[in-house]
Amino acid sequence: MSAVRQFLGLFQNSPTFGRDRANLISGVTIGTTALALNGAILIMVLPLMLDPDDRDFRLLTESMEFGQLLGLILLGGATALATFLIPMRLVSVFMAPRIGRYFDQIVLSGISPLRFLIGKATSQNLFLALILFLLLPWFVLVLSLGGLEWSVFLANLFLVWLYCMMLALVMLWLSLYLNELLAMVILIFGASVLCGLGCAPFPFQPFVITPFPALMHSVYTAVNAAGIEPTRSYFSVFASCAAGMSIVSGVSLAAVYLGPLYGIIRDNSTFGEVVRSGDSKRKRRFRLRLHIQRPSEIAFFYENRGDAFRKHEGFIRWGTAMLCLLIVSAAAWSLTISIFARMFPSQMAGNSPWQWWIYEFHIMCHIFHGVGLVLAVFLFSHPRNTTYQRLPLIFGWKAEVSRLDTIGFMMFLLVSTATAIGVPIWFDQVVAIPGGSALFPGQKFVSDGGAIDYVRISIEGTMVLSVAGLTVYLLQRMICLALWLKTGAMVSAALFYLGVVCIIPLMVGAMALEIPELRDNATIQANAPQWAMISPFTVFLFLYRELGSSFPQSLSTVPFYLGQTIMIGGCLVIMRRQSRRLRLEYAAPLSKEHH
Amino acid sequence: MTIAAIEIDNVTKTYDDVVAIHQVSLKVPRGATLGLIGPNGAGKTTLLRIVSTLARPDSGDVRIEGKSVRENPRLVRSHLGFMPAEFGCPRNLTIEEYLDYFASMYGISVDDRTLRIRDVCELTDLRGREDVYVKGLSTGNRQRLLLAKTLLHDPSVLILDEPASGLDPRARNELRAIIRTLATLGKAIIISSHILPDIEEISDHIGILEAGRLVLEGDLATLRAHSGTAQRVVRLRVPPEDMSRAAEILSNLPGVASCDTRDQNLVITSDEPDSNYLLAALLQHQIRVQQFSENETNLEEIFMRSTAGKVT
Repeated sequence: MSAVRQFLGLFQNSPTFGRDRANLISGVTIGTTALALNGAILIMVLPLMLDPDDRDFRLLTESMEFGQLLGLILLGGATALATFLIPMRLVSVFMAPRIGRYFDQIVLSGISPLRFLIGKATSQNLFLALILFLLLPWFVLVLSLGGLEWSVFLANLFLVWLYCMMLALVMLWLSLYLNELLAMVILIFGASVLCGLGCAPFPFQPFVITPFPALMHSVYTAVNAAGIEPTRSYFSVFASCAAGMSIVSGVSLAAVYLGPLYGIIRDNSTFGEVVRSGDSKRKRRFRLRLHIQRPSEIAFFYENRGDAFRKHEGFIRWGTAMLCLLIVSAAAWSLTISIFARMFPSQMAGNSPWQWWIYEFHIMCHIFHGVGLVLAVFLFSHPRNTTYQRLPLIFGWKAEVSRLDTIGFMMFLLVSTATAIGVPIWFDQVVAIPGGSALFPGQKFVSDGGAIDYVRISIEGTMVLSVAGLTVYLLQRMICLALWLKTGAMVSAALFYLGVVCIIPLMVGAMALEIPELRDNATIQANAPQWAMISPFTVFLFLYRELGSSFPQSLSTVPFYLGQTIMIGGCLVIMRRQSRRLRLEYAAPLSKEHH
Repeated sequence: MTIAAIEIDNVTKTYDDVVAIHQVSLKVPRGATLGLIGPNGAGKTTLLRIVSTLARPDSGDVRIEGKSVRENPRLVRSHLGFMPAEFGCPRNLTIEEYLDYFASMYGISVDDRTLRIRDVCELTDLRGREDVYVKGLSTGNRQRLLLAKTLLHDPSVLILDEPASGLDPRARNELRAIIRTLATLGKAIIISSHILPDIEEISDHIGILEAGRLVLEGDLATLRAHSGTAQRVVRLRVPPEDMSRAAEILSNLPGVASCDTRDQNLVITSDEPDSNYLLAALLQHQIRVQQFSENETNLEEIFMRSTAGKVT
């Protein structure tokens, strides 16, 4: 009994339990939910009812007990309904206190944001309970029809519950960064797409962050005559879905705990920027602004947190970011190594002229290095409203956000570069050579008359990526000094680098070598390959011998490094100038907020 | 040394070039009530928001029970009950649900909540109305509910911003009684209001703010003394034939600042706290006093004298 009471206490101690209970148990809510729920279920059944002679449907009803099929439809309907209604219910998480003008009262209660938000998430259990309650007549029908596999049904029900929790946590996470309405639209759209993809009969279903892969497993197993039998057991699909949704929930929970960097947003800002007169007019124009920015909201997200967070905020934030990055990176590297190692010696040993795995291995190393750097660029940069703020790092020491960003990125750059160079060497020595092969087979493979130098690919390819990553990072940081939104800066930096640095030099070089009218011009012909080599794309194509016969086989990569050095220098100069101006604005007095 | 429950120390708050609060210092001991008055835009709400940790001072500090609002706002909040001027409320809740919602926010355990809600309803005279929906409450009952919510976690310091706004005389009277009760329970109270008779009646100390500056502060007698309105005004009616003689006698008495004849009355302005000596002097000269009345300067007069209607 005490265990039951403790369990119930978890929900009853939620700050919004009473309120949610009061709101849920109302004629309007119950009636609307019942209508929507039955509508969702009927919509799922409708295609079958419209064409009862459909071959697949007949196959399905012949292969499955109708009770089991109806059970799946009920859970599918509940999932579909939750996809729409849970984000809609949580749209008022901050909006309601603001419109109702009681946010201050919440702040003054001293409740921590985590407890408040977790309360909002757990209150969705009540909503799920309401949905299940409304489905009771259907469940009775399912039981009457018979054929229900209880273990599968209960496992699916667990996944639906996990999905509801995940939706709630993701919605809360998004609500911290976006206007709630926008967060709701994005989440409903994203979840609907994932649900749709989760229903698809892929042999290996990667979209395991909805319950649909598990729900559909029984269907695809039943109609295996149609040739879409899943290759995995139900348990593995269930475990994948449970793990996928748990990971997303865990990440959302961590993000909710950390929250955005609000403490460094000025009291009265439009976007969290340094405040100037006239901001209120801009506020009216831009509705997609960050919305948690008023003093009471900032206070809520900073002052009501625990002491540990407030004292070691920098360490917790940057440490978590670095840890996540390293875990993801390590997982990717480990997975690759294990996949390639498992292929030995049956598929890789020997001295066949085309050892495809060597090529693939080096490409994978570069992909992981590059993706890791892109993630690091995003994680270790902050927009202009936060970049020069100081915050407690650890044990009361304070540090500037920009410094923490720089240190974080440089540390990851070094670790990732060392890994991208070290892993192939380690694999070569520990796995490949003992297995009778080699990851650096000298210049064995020859294509288009050129020889691939795998040592150069591994080391210089990694260095090219590292230098390019550093340039993109500085571009991002430079643009961040002018923009309020990090994502906006990221898109701008990526477009600029991709267009101006990667594509244009390659295009110019290729056109100069390919256009007949330019072929007679000796100067152009002599210099075009060097221009093209400014682009990291050209360098990689050159290293992998994929440039084609028009390009010379021997090229220098100096133009690339020269171009990057100029860009790095330029970014540093501009950042220095920008930072002086911005730091002055940071010290400027605040404007009065006009609500 | 006893620590004042509320200690406002040289607080300044500026918006743009506008000084909302300028070097204001005040102290409120436990069991005392500070009335804060001032014209619209004087900075009362800004000051109350700073005291309540909802706004940060540019300079200076506020300590609640010895804890700084700058350094430890979260701890300060546990001692603090703030009743805002405007009533904000989650929709579709009854009084009990509303109080339960905030009680859970304050971290009051499920078991204690019922008792606590009953207590505050009792104190604010909301007992028996727990099932009434908040949206249907009258202004007076809303103020009661807001006060009940403010008292839920039994704070030692109460900040009440315009609590009597929109209340009828009976409700105001009841609210005054509740505030007096709370003061006797040892709570330090700051109350801001435009209803000066209420402030005059329930406050031990009064602060007058104008254009962000504290122009006067102290108990009523101190305010009278500092505002130049400490004199007593005495009206006497004597027989018409004795009028000039009486005026001459009274004018020569010590402490009498002026003695004028108005509407067949003598109007005497006296610096002395006791007016009996005026009567004694007239009786000594066998002048019959037909009517006697005396007035002290009220808060409204002090307020009008000490402020010029400047706003920030």
